[in-house]
This record gives sequence, structure tokens and C-alpha cells, in this order.
Amino acid sequence: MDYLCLIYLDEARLAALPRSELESLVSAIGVWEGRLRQHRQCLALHRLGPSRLATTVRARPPRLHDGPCAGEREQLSVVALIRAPDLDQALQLAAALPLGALGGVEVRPLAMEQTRQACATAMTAPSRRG
Amino acid sequence: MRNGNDSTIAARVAALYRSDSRRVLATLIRLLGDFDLAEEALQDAFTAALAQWPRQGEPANPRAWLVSAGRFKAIDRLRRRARFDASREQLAQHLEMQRPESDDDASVEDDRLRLIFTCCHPALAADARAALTLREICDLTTEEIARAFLTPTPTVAQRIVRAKNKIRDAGIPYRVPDAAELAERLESVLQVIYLVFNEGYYASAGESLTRTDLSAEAIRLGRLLLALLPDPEVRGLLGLMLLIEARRAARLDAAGDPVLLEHQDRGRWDRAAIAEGCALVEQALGSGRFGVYSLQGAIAAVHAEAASAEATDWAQIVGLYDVLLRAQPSPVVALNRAVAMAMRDGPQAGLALIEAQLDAGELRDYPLIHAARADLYRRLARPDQARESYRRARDLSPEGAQKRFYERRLEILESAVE
Repeated sequence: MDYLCLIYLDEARLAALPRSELESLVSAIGVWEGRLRQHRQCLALHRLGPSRLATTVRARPPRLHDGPCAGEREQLSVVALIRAPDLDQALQLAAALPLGALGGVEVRPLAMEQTRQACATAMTAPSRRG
Repeated sequence: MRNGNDSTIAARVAALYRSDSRRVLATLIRLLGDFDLAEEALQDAFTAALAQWPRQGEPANPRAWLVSAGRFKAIDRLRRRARFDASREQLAQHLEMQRPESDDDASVEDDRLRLIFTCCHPALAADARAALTLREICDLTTEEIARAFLTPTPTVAQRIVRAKNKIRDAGIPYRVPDAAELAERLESVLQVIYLVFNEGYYASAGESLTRTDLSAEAIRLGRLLLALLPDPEVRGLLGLMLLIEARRAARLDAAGDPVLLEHQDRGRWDRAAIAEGCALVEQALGSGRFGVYSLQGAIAAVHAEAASAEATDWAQIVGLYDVLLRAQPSPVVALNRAVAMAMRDGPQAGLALIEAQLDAGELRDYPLIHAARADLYRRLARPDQARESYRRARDLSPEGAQKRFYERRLEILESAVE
């Protein structure tokens, strides 16, 4: 199954981080990505611009508002699309992200139609036992 | 094959349903990969048994027959639905090609353990875990679960549906966690079982203070889990539940109101349950790999073995609370330790600890801390402060037996003053 890892980080703490620590966080995420990509477990990873650059569109007025969707302390900062046989293994991969106390990772499966398709494809392939 | 007439076959099928339906369900969930499909298949399989066994006789291995019948019925159902949804046909073909593995007893028991770990998966909400466990493993109906938790039936039904959907759509696996995760995942299972037990033993609301059925289900679950996974903490939890359950007959007075541990008629405690509980706790502690449930079990065992509150080994209880507090630092554990300290060293010692907790802002809205404080004031012959604390405990309690209990304590204190 494919899961999107939504990595939420505390922007205030992030901004207060010394340059060297910020660099080592970025490179640690890069190491994580590289390791997963080797095993075809990571399909895409993007760092996002800061939430102050976000704009939210809603159906109800005000249709547009400056800022991200949820006004939490932690902001969506990185997204990674990963592939794992089940939620337990996806959570294990996500837990290996070296975020410390800066934030957390929301792990969500892609929408059901895509998931179903992926499952059906996996099932027609020779079955793996786990 | 054995032959029999319709009514003996019907009785036999009913007995098989009671003894084995959860095993068959657990295996069908693994084979079909879907809770709802497996539940329908289970009903279909038992219906087929009722129809076919009177003619063909009971098969040599009825459980394997039921699993196999359920699997074919599920494939049929998928085929019928395939007219509306092409992906069902793919799934049906996939299931048809799959060779079910051997149906020996060990693999069946593995399936039961898989079902327990999946129902108690930490990715599910805590109340959903309990409801799903009672529904799938204990075979309680949604209405029974709703009544037991004093929750509207549609709420419970919705929790169960949501949990099953998340298991399917988020890819929660159907497996026993491996050694590295086992301790953490087992913790979640033990939590669910203890929550079910407590919900039955200390009703959170309502008039009747104890709801036997849930406590009995929790003990049954504990026994099942111990048979499947002989882990020291499972043993400790089962021992703890048995030791608490042993006091049931003495816990309420004739009016249905609670009786404090120190005033309970210990002659009415269930000695057989105590013996079993103590033995389990002792084994758990002896393993050296015990946790918070075994420690609470050990405390319950010290109470169970004492002839009276005065004869209780309070020094040992304080010592056990010290260890428990290190393993599970929580204000409620600290409060219990303070009460034990009062019994060991006198009311003043306990009172000082309770005051310190309240001063630190802990448990201020927790009725039991005010009740404990009231009792210590009473023992120190400070009736005004005792009354004030009992009033606080009463005002913080929901309507019901517990509130009435504090009312009565207040009346006793008032009459003593006059």
C-alpha cells in the first residue's frame, strides 16, 4: 500500500534552531529518504515552504485565507510518499525519521480507489507470505 | 461421518457454534482479509452445516469443514457482487487460487492471537478497541456491548464499523507482532482487557455499581490470552482481576451500596479465586519480567491474605507501591501509596502526602482524594475538616451509589457531633 507521511514540525522551534542543527536535520531526513529509496519504499519526498506562504481555499466564505489549513503549533513541513505492505511497516519507516521533539508524522493511506487498485495489482502478482 | 437426526444435529451445530465459532471466524478473517466478509461467511458456513449434516452426517473434522465452507461461500458472495464491481472478481479469483494452509490446532490458535492483536491495535481508538474485542472475540452483540458500557447502540455500532473500516483501508495487518514490538503491543491488549474488567467492576455511571458480565468476559479474555501467550504480565493481569473479583460478594451491602475494603466481611471473599489469583501473581513475580499489572496483583494478594485490615502487612504494601510508582509514575498511584503510608505510620503521615499532592495541583477534582483526606481527618478527630472533605468528595461524584456513600459518611459524622 502507498502511504503519505505528513511531517509536522514546530516552526517556532525550527526557526530558533542553530544553522548547524538545521543542516544536520535536513541531511538526516535525506539519509532516511536515500535508505528508503534504495528499497523502493520511498516514491517521493518534498520539503515544503514555510506555512506563512500557504493559502487555503475553501468552499465557504471566506473562500481564501492567508495561512495553512489548521492553525496548529506544528506545521506541515515535509511530505513523503512511501510504500509498505501494511500499516505496521509504514509506521516503522515513519518512526525512523529523526525528528526528536520537533514534531510528528501523520501516516495516511492514499484514497481508497488507488489503494484498491494497488491491492488488486499486488494480489495478481505471485503471493508473498508474511 | 456420523449420522444423526435433525434435532441432534441442530443441537450439535449450536454447541459447535458456542465452542468454535470464534476460532472459525479468526481463521476466516485471515483467509478472506476482511472482517465483514468473514462474519457473513461464518453465518453461511453454520447455515450450510444445518442444511447438509443431517443428510451427509457430521464431518470428521467439523471445524475444518466450517472454515472451508465459509471460504467457498465468501467466494460465491464476491462473485455475485462482481456484477456491480469488477475488482470483486479479481479478489474472488485470488481467493480461489490461494491454498489455505493446514488447519492444525497450532495455526488455528495463531489466528485467534492475530485477531486479538488486530482488535487491540494501537492505531484504533481506545473505546473502539474494547468494543471490537467484545464483538469479535467474545461474540457479544452490539446491543449487549452498548448496555454494558451505558452507551447508545448506534454509537457502539459506529465505533465498530469505523474500526473495521480502518483495519481494512489503512492496511492494519492481521498478525502477531514480532519479538521487537511484542511488549508494546501486548500493553495495548492488556489495557483493553483491564478496561473491560473495570468497566464491569466499577460502573462509571448509573445505579448498579457492578456489572458482572463485563468482568467475567475480561477474565475469560485473560484466560484465553494466557493460554495463547504465556507471558508473565498476562499472568499478572489475570491474577489481579481474579483477586479483585474475589471480593465481589462483600463489596456491596444489602442496599447495594459500596463497603470499604477495611469493613468488608472477609468470610465472604471467594477463597478459590484468591488461591488461583495469588498463585498466578506469584508465578509472574517469580519470572523477574513482570510489570505494573503483576505489581498491582501483588498488592491485591497482600490484602487477600490478611485476616483483617489491621492484620494487613502495610509495610509490604507500601514497598510494592514504591516499586509501582517507579514503574508507573501517576498521581493515583501516589494517592494509593499515601493511604497505605497512613495505615503503616499513622494518619498524619498519609495526610501530609495527600496535602502535598493537592498543593501541587494534582487530583483536585478526583473525589477519592477528598474521601481519603476526609477519612484521615476523621481518624485524627478533626470532624470539621473531615466533613468539608466529604462534602467535596460528594459534590465531585456523579449521581449514584458512590455519592450516596459519601452522604451517609456525612450523616454519621453529623450525628457523632450532636
